[in-house]
Amino acid sequence: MRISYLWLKDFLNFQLSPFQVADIVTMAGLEVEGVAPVGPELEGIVVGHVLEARKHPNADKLSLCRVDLGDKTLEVVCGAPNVATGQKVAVIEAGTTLPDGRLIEARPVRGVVSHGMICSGRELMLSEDAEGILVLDPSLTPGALLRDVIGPRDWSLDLEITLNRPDCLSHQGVAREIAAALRVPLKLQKTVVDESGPPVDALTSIEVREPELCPRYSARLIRGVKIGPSPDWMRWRLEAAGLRSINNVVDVTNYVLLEMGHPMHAFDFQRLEGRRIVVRRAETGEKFTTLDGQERILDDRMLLICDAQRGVALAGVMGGSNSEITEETTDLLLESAYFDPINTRRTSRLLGLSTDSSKRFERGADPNATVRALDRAAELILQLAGGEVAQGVADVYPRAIEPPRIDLRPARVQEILGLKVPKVEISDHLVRLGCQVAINEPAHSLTVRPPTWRPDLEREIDLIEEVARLHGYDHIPTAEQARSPLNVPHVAADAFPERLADLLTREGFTQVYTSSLLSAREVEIPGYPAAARIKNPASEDTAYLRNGLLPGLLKVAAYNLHRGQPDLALFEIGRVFAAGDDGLREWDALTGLLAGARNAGLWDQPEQAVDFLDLKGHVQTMLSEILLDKPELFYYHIEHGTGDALEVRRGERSLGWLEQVHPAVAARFEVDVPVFAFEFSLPELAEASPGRLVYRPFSKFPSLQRDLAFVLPEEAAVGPLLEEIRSAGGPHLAGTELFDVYRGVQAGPGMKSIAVRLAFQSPERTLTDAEADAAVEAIVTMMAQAHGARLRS
Amino acid sequence: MSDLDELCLLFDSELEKVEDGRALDDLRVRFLGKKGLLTQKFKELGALSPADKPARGAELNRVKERLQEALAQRQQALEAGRLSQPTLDLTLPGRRPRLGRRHPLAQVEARVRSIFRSMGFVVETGPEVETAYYNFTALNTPEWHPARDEADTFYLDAERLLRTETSPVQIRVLERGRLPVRMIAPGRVYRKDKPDPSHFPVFHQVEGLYVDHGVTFADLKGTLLAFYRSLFGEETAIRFRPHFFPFTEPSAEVDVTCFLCQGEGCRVCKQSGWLEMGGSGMVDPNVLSGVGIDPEEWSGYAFGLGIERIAMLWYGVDDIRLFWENDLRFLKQF
Repeated sequence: MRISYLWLKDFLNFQLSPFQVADIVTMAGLEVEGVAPVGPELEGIVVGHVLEARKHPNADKLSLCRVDLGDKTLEVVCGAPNVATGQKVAVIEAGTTLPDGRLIEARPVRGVVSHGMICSGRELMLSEDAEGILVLDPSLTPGALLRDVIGPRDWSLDLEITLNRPDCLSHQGVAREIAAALRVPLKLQKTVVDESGPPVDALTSIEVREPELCPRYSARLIRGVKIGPSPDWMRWRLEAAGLRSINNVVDVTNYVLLEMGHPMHAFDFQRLEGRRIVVRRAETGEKFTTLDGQERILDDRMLLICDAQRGVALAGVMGGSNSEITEETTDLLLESAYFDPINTRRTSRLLGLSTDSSKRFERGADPNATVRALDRAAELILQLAGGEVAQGVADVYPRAIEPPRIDLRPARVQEILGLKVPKVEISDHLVRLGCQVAINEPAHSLTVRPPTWRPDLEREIDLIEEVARLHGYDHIPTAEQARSPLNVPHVAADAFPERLADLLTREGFTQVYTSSLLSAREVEIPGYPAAARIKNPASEDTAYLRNGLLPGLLKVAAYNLHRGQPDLALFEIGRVFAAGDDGLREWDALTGLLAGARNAGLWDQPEQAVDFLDLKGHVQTMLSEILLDKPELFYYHIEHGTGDALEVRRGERSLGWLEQVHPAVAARFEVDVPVFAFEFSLPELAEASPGRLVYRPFSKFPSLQRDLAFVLPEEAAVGPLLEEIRSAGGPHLAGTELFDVYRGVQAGPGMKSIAVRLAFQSPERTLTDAEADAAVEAIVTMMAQAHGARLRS
Repeated sequence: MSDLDELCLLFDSELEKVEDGRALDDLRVRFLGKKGLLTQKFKELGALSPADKPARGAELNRVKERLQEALAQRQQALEAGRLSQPTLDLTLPGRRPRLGRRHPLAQVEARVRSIFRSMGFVVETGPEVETAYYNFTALNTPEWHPARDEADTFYLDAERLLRTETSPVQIRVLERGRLPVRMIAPGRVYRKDKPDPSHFPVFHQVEGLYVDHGVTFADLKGTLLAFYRSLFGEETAIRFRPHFFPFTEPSAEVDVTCFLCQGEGCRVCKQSGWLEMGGSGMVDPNVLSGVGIDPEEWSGYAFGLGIERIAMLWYGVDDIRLFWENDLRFLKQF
């Protein structure tokens, strides 16, 4: 809503700048988006000093002026009666254009060449005064640019009005807020309508068939108007409020809308069949052409204003082209009604048609303002377009809408605000907003009747907010202590992912945030659950909820790879979603991705490409951080989607997987380097992780070490072998560490050699070499018998 | 040239090539070891006549001493060299194993969480796919409210939607029926905005809620003042502006003094000296009674704030999309 600064002055006496006004309305709760000057640019208009004004030799009513412009002196012919020597005036030099676009040229006037013009306020579009020239402050310097020394004609305040305050969609409403904040009276317009015509009932009739949807319909009739342009003051005010001038009658209805907030409509009375109004529901499928020339197809819940035969306006939304005001219009029927907010909103939404009128009706207009709006409009039309107003108002208002009665307890005000506001002060605040307040003396409460232009005031709490607002939020105390309940949970819900994120960061992974909205192609990852589709996506690229984090990470990988950043260690923690027959599931996942060099940052070493074992190592470190490590955990070689993968399980529960992303999948995301990734379910990890770390004592006795190398067939899986070695090694085998896998001449073709370092230790005593050797013997025997492995010498 | 001169020459030229202790050992063994070249000469002594023996023996001993001395010197030189490493350029860059970074939004959220936790708030979470009931109805949002429009909110079907704010967590926590409640709920929210420098359809909020006996607007003011001072600095001031939200009454927008210009007015705060941080207010009685809590007995405040908003202001990031692009040149700065 754009508010004209000057217009506000109709309602208030104040000495505030537009910016001060903006501050006041801001703190009253009307958000100010901007304050902007309104009016002509005044390009090339300068201050002049009239050095001499003497009579034109050839014309009685003209003066010949010599004007000092600072750097030059100009000879100008002036026709204004009020020009005089010594004045400071606004001068336009020949060759420059006036704000209305007129080019001023040097030309002879009754035999004397005028090299410019001394301007009136009207010519500069600054005021309506066309009688004389604009006389400026005598202290101004000649030659100064006029726009630098005088302010703009008006200012426009761009306000964002919240949905609950339809009353503030008007200058009167905003002025009321300012008046209440400043504690000054609000000056309301006094309207006087000269009703010189016959009684309105003799000329027309109103029939409301839907009093629920149209609780009130008021109308006035004006005959014999002359349609024409509006005067400047009207045009300028509409302009400051962001509206275009159309003609004097339409402008008046808009003006009243902007001034009082009540939407009106003017019909060409002669174009109404039967010269009467019928308010009814439209029929389903009924067609109606609105003012904007669009044909609309209505349904039977939409309210239609009709004449004796057909629809003439879509109630509260827009008029029809069949009855609009034209240049030939002479007789008007002015409508000022109150339409049901919900139904107006429905119509506006279904037709995709939001207007200044519908915006106000759907938020709630004032049912008791219809006649006042009519009077104001009639007064202005008489003034601007002439004509004769029929006597009285045709007013159908079967059940008057009364304001509610609300009990307000001053003690409750204190309970909510933490501030004691005296009863009388509470009452004052509310009265300034237009409420009627009765103080019930022993009952310690107030009975408040809010005005009907405030449909948002329905409950005690609504009134408490008004008290707080007018009292000033700044005057509510600021607590210095908090009482904090002690129902602290066992483990904070977020501690677990935070720990994993911090660990991964230390491991060299950088955290990314990717969008939860993906395309159909992106969610098609083999092994992922089905993704849920959004019913009204913004685009097909963002039509699905992510069913895992890998697609997002692959997109980030591609983005960085294509920008010369090949070494990637990334992770994301975030919500993922799966569509299923039993409804949608969502959980938090943790996904990591590796690509490029493992030793990035070690600049003097040759680059080593990451491989699966890097990924696995990171995963193992991460899992050990949350106390998930052998022997609780098992890795299973699985077919995951299209690639080889390990699944990490604890018992029967799958916690996650790790894999080399299949090149075909990576390629879909424009990633053409080897990429390794893992994904875990956070709830599964949290569930599997023991809640408590238990210390394991370690031996104080020395350990004996033995290194063994076995030659095995190439295809033997080492992981399970190490497990078997551990169990064959007996109770004193405390450590089994793989330290080499060798393929080559010494191992023989199709064979490999694995080297393990065994550590033997007892918690009770120092072991003998013989004990260690016996255990080694058992291992060697087991390896030979079970796996055909021979010792490599 | 005698055979011993030749041997010395060979030794000297070999010694030149020695670069490390291992090569030096090899050289020692080659000349002075059990089968060494010089040792061999000593063994040959026995074959000489007794008259020639003493002279030859003395000559051999001299050579042996010479070789031993040269080896010792070389050893010393090698050890000294190892310590001083005259070829090492200390101005070369250090080797820095890769260290990861937390995403800036995660860092901001962690700070916000830790401040509120220190003030006795518990961290709660809720589903991102919500129902219209939790996201709107229970939060006192009328059926006709434009926020419910398909133009603003992503729907999965008639009832399920992507939450547009973290406020539904309020309802889920209050529904448990265990009062008092003092919680924050960080998380992702979704709105149908076109991506531009200040909008992205996915973003992050933190919701706050305190419901107890006798909670007042003064408590809300005190809590948020303490929070923003902890976040932005002790000198931060705070301003509450009346506003409208369906689920709070009275409602307020919260502004803090601009920490870039200390409230003087600058480009970022649009010359106002204030930065808009988020909404707040007293929990609307309709919200409480909707979950079976008697608003005459209990009262509370609620507030919300945007993680992206704080991160953009604090780090001077002028395009929200940078957070979602994940360019490593961006992420590595945090």
